Amino acid sequence: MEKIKTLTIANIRKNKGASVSLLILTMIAAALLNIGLVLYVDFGAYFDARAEQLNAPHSTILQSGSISTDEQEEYLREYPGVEEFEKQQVIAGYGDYYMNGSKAPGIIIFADAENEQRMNPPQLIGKSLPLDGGSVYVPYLMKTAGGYALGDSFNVNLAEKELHFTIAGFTEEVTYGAIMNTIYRFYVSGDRYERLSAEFPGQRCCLQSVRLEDSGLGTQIQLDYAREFFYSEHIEEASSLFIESISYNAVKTSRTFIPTITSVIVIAFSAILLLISLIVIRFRVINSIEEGMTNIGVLKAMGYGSRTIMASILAQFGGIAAAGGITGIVLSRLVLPALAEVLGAQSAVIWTPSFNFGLAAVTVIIILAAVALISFAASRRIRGLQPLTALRQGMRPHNFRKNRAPLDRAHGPAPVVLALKQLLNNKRQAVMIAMIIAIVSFTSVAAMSIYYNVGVETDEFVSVVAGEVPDAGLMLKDREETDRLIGKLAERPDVRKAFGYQNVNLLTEGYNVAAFIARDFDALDDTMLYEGRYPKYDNEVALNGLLAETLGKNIGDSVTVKQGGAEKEFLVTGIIQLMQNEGVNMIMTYDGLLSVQDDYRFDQIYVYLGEGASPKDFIADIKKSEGDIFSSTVDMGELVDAQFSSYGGIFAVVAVGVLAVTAVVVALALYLVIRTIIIRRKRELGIQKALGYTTLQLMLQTAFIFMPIVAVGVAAGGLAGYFGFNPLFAALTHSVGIIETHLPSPTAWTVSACLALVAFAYLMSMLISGRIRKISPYTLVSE
Amino acid sequence: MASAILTTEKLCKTFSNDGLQQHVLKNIDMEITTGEFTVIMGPSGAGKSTLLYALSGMDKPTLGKIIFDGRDISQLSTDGLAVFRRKNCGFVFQQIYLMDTMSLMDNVLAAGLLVNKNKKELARRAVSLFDQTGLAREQWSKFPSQVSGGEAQRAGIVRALINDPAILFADEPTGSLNSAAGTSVLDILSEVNRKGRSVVMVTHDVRSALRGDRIVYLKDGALRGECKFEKYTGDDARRNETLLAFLKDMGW
Repeated sequence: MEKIKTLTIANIRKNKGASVSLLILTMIAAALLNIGLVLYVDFGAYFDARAEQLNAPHSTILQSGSISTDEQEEYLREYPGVEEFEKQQVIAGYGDYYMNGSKAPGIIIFADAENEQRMNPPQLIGKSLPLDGGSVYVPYLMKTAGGYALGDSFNVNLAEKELHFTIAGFTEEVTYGAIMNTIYRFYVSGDRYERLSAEFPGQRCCLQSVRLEDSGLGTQIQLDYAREFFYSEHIEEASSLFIESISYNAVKTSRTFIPTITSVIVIAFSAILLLISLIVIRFRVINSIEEGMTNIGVLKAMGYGSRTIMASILAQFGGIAAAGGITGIVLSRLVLPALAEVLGAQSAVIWTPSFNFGLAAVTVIIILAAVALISFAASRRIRGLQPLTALRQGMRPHNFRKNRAPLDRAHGPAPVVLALKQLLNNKRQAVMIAMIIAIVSFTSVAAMSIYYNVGVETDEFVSVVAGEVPDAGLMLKDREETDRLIGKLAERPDVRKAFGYQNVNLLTEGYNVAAFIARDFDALDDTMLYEGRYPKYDNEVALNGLLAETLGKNIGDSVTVKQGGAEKEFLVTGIIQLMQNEGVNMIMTYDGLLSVQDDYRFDQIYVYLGEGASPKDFIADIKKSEGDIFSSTVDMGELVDAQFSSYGGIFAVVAVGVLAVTAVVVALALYLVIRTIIIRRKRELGIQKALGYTTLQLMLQTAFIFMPIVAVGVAAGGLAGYFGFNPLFAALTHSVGIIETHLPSPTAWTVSACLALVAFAYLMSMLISGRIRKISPYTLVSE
Repeated sequence: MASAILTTEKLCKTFSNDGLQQHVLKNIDMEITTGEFTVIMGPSGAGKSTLLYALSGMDKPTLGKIIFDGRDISQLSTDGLAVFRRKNCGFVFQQIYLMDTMSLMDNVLAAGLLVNKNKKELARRAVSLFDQTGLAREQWSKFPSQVSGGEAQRAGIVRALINDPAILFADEPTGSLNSAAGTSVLDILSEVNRKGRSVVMVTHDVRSALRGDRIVYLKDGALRGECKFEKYTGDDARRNETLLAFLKDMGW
């Protein structure tokens, strides 16, 4: 043991710089792995635990008070597995609110704060004020993503009536406080609630909440409830009902969506870093065996066994990995709170990451095991080495039998040709650098491309996440006005196109499926279809990819749709992707819907404006010219900005993190290799200096050795990132219903990043090659 | 009368180590004339190699001047000295110092490319020099580890001459060679000198020193004396006796 310790310490001392570089690499890999694991495991678990503490419902059904019956309540109370039931009167309906100054549409619920509420009672976060007739408690998300502070004015528009409040506090809201569900609950005083109830008699609603033995059955109970009461013959005008149900699973998916994707990206990146560390460790082990061949021979001649020498190598790199792993855990503990804060802005979950010993241990064990395995595999050659052979440096590869790139025949300037010769003499290092550069280029370009689509040019990303996004959305009070208004809009010079577009819930193969309806899907801007074709006739549908997987259906199959007593077979003509309703969605033509529900009429119009036209001006103008016919008008651009601004911030942090780590990895990898080459070529560099080569010439020559390799690696990784980030993004978001994406690749960004990476690698190479300055020709001859 | 190509004035070199100072060269005043074959001799530790490398711009003196072609090279920067060496000096080392990852030809061209960018012309000159040294053509493309010491040293001489230097510096050029190879190398150096090039050689070996037409003796970092001969034309008993007498006089 003492022998191993002595050899190990001697090895680490001899290669202090390389040891520190490896320590940094493994530390970053461990930090990222731990961050990813903690995010992946703890964030969701924390959300569950917090929901339990708040006694949050597993399923809620919000519906017009006029259609609520005792029978429905009885059904929910008696439903198998229901542990708790709660029924409340609320004021609710479609309306608008403002986030970061932008108007956003959604469903607004006003609840009486003085009423007893067992499930997720209003729990205030931070400072608050008592409620009075003019104030309101709003979900915490309004603070983190909406830009509000205590005492700010808060205006909402319910059923086209503007309401003004002052924010008196922020509530910890599980169900009605997620950015993607756009249903928000606001608490007002009992007095104000009475006034609202009198002011909005048509918006009096009933909110039924249940807690279940198995929270995963939240969607099933909604499905059964809808099937029992709203798809049967006795409700004829199903389309005019106001009913919104939401399950705990849907809420959780929405609120943990970004942390989950972030954790997957971070874990994937940590795996890449670990791979790079292993490549470098393998290189270091092989190199140290070659460099220390004589020493190995001496040790063997003295009686040291192969196992002892191999154990010292294992201990050397295992020790570095253990130190890197532990410091990585410490680093992750420093980074996690900041990351939790960024993620909190989107999810509105106040998560304080605690130390998870199990995950920390898993992180260190993964790093250690991988390093130990690669060190052992790389040092196996010591076993077969005879002392005498080692003393004669018998294993040093005499691979310079062939004179590569002879100077009298090679073309190009001398430093380049000399560098080329060195490159050919250092193929192993070259391949290693190329691999590392290609990997980090790929991740950088992919991360940057994702950020570009999520934070800068968001149209395609929004279309993936939010579906069809027009310039303006108009909701009419009277659906009989729809066709007339579409005709009128078509005559306006500022309108490019306008059509009815809406979603209805249809019982399809036993599932409550969100069906998006349009007369002609080819008129849509969105490219949700990725296989087959859009439905054209009244017996066709296109299914979401995830739903198709669940149902076991494909193009050419048929599905049964039930609605209001009618039942009809529809042919599947295509496969689409939309994130709405957790992927349980489809598209159907207007005629198709009429064939199962002949009284259906659009009451929502999507309007697309011509170039340069302002949605704000258009909405103001159409309201002025048409009068009080709208129940809601929405500037969709503003809505999207409000909903997606926090995504950009999170992915910006991820992209910057990836680029920063890339820079560190490139610098460390080049440092390790160039340093090794300089040490190995010390004599040769001394000779060249004696012959009259200047330090700068030799630095350039050394930097040029890796420039072609760096360029090839960057080009390969950059191209892979450029063309491969769509499949990567689809893989990362598959769990939320994305199968295939066609996000635009930011060409200028990619090219700039690749050039910057090459320039950075060149600068780093020159900087590291500065060590050549210390090599003096006189030292060579005087030694 | 031949002019001085290199002159030193009060040349001193001091090494410091852990506060201890060692004065290796002390106020050396000497002159190297064009076309002269100067041999520097002296006991071990006398400062012979230190003087050679100071004269050749390989190392900087602590004090004093080194005037080459009217210019004080002791004031040049490290890179300035590198440029001076590539243009004016050729080196032949005892350890040969060929780059073992390059063929003999590439070793020569790597030095030549510093001054002459025309590869074809350079290659022609290398071929001519290789021919002059008598090194067989099939050896040129071999690596240093694949040829004998004598062959490698011939390549070293070709490398030293590729840029047509004003002075050829040689530090114990036969030190690591056998007798036959050593003689062959000395013959080449004599031939180079006969063609008008200045040669400065450090040696311990009396047989090698006989090739010089001026022998300077260094002891304890100072010049103790010098002995002059006619140009070397072949083995000469009288020349040998004179040199031995000089060396005996110097305390050899």
